[in-house]
Amino acid sequence: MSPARIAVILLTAVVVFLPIGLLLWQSFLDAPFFQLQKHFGLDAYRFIFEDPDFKRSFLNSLYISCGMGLISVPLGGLLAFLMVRTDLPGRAWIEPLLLIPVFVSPMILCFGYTVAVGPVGFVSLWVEKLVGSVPWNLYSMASIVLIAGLSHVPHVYLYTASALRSLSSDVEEAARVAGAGPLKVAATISLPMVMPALLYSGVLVFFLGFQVFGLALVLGDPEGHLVLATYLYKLTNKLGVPSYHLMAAVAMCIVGITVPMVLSQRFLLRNAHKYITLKGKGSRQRPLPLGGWRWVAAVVVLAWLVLTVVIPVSGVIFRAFVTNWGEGVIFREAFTLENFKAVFEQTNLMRGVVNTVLLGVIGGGLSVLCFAFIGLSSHRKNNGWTRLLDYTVMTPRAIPGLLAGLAFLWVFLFFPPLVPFRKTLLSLWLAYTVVWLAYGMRLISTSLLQVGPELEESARVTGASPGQVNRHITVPLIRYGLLASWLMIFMIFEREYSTGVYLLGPGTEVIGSLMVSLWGAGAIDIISALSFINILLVSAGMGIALRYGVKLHD
Amino acid sequence: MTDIELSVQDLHVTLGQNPILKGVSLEVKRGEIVALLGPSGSGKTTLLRAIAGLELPAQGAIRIGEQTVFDQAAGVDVPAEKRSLGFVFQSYALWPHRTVFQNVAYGLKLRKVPADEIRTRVAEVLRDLGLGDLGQRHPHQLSGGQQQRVALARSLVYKPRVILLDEPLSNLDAKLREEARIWLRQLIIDLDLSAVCVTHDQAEAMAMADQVVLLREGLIEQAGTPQQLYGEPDSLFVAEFMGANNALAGRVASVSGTQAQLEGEGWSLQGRLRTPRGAGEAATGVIRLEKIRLVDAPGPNVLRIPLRASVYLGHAWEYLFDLGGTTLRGYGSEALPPGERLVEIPAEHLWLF
Ligand SMILES: Nc1ncnc2c1ncn2[C@@H]1O[C@H](COP(=O)(O)OP(=O)(O)O)[C@@H](O)[C@H]1O
Ligand SMILES: [Mg+2]
Repeated sequence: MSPARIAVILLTAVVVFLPIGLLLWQSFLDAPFFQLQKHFGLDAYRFIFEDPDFKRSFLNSLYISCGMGLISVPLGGLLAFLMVRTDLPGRAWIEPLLLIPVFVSPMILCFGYTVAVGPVGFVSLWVEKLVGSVPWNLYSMASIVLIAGLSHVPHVYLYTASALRSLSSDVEEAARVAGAGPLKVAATISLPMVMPALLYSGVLVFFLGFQVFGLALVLGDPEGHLVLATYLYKLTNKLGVPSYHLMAAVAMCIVGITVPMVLSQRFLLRNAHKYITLKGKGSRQRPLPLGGWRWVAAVVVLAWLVLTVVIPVSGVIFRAFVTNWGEGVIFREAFTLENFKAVFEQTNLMRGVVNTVLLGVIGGGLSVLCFAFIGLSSHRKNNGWTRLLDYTVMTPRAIPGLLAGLAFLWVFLFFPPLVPFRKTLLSLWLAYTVVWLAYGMRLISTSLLQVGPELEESARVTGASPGQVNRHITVPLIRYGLLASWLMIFMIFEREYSTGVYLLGPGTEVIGSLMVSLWGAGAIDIISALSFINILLVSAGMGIALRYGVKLHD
Repeated sequence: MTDIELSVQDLHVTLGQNPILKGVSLEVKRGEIVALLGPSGSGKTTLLRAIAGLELPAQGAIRIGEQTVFDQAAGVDVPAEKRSLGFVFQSYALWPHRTVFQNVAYGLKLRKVPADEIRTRVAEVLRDLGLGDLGQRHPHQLSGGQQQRVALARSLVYKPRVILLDEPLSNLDAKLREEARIWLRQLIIDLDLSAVCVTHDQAEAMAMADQVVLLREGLIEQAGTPQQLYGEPDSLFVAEFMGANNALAGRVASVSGTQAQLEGEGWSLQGRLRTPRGAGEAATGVIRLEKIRLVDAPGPNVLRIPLRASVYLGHAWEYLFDLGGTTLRGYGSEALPPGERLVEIPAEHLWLF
């Protein structure tokens, strides 16, 4: 390993583990770590374990995780099967819609739900007119679990669909020829072969459940349902003073649950590969004819789309253009552009919009550059250093954005060389880059894997040093992959809302964190206008992706 | 000054946990073409990659010309880019984002050759290889044969003294392949290069090479001229690999010097011992298909056996005889009806292993 490669790996490890180490250390102190008067001990843990609110939050998080797994794994698997393997009508245009819950922040979706199907939502009022009452309660725990589950269906879908695509249909055809009927084939061949992918995404959804924040913030507030992340967020309000050690202890509890899950995913992934058969050149997939079931399946998928995408998104868009909403309000009279005017007139909001764009376009590009450097540093190497990098890269998956933002706030507050950058976008950019490190590295390594090793080796024997091989061969060959990654990171950075929450201040506003803070103040008009702008930004990204055929998933 | 351009001594290579090369030594003289032959998985590619510096051997030494490029004992390991070898990959490995000209010019650019000299030298090598006006094309716009020649041009342009070729002809179709091997041999001789050429096709190896090295499971089974390997195989494996044979299982009845009598079910034949065998031991008699002759009169090593069928091959007829249950095959120039025949198995061509 050359010194440059080792330096990149070590730097990555420091940037990832330093903030987490700080959280860990803080959780064992009884006062903020920067104070002189502090003692080492378990006080913080003792306090939260004795707090009944913490216990309730933990149980709620557990319900949400389990519920999400039970809802999204079967539905996501079914959806993947229908989309990849069958002649479901309208597959081409369903595909991009499926990804909306991945690229639109849960804050916005849930906000849309309150507008559409909340107690005075336009759908609720319409239903009330029809049947006399609203037969659901959006703010109940059951609704929260249901919405969490439905909005994570795409996560399961993505993994299962890619596993299904990589199975060539000849293994199924071989079973058919050997005498198995279609159902038998599905049960004995197809399903067991995608089982590892289902299991993997099940674990994914389960630990994402423990990281749920925006959803619980918006839907849990009215009836006081807390989850771990919102408990952490509200600790400051609850005690009246910033209690760093308690926040750190809660953070460590969340990390303590998610880290083992992320590690187990790694193990599952190793097993998942054992079934992935390389498709031969000529092998293609013939869709399974659904016959009469085609339309039943289409209705099921459509119902899911309406529930998960159409209702919340239309709710947000609708609310952005009215002055207020409630019983007896008529859209024509309430229509307004004032909400947007308000955004453009308030400097901090306007800065938030500009910052969001800057962070997505320029920050996203810089992040992709960093990811590319990190990817190249371990490219075609397999030793202790690359294993260190592997663990470094997957660790941020276990850290919810809210916690990462908190940890980076501390780093920027108390690490002298970084203090001047605390109120600049650099702090946000670094936190975003670390939070999305695993995702970004996946994008990069997918590109790198497609470069044939002989293309690099032939440059070596022609006389190129490893650095020259990177510059002349590898990087030019993945240039389209890098551009596509930039687009994906742009969309993800536009969507991100929780990482900026603790870093929010004059100069570091972004749409996502502004919405969280405005939600506390109840500024519905402005939130809806910001949401609309945010949806527009993400749609621009999606539009470019669709226009240039960038794959939105693998 | 020795005239050994490439020497490999006792090379061991382990990939993952598997020992792939288990002590291979070979020498390539100036201007010589060595064919590395062996069944798939025998370690040919691994040997070539180790010579080029793309695999790290566990033991052994490699010298190119006067320079030791690898010596495990002395801790020498010259990186691939400093070995100045030509290497033609089986897949050609042309860089898809560069034009033919840029592919070929790359090695000269790295050697900091002035731009106008690069232009003339690339144009020259492209012309010599019959690629004259393809310089501005991208690799995917070329046929398989053209790609193969670009890969060659790319590794020849900076005038390496030794060129390594990994199954350079395997991606061409059969007809093109037979022309290309003559052309390739002539090119290497004209440029006064030393070459190691991997192939799994024994006919190709014999047509192209001055020396043939036959690998088997990471060890050299036999090395020598094509005539030696074909005409005097040291083992049953070599005999089987180098040509089409009849194999007769039997028992050694008597031995005198290098001659021995092999006996089977209702037959007894004299042959030459290629490996030491004592009387009473089991042995296999091997004879090339083309050495079997039909004769008119009985004599030593002449069997009277039934002809089962004649098979038309185009350039000849193949006869299938029945020798006590095993099939004996031979060639002839005309179709013959089935029936008893006199078949001579010349003693000097019957090898006993
Ligand atoms: N990276 C690797 N790790 C482990 N074994 C390998 C690797 N590459 C090749 N092998 C094994 O090494 C053996 C020799 O391979 P190779 O040199 O490519 O054979 P050949 O070119 O003669 O067909 C094969 O059995 C192959 O499976
Ligand atoms: Mg090979």
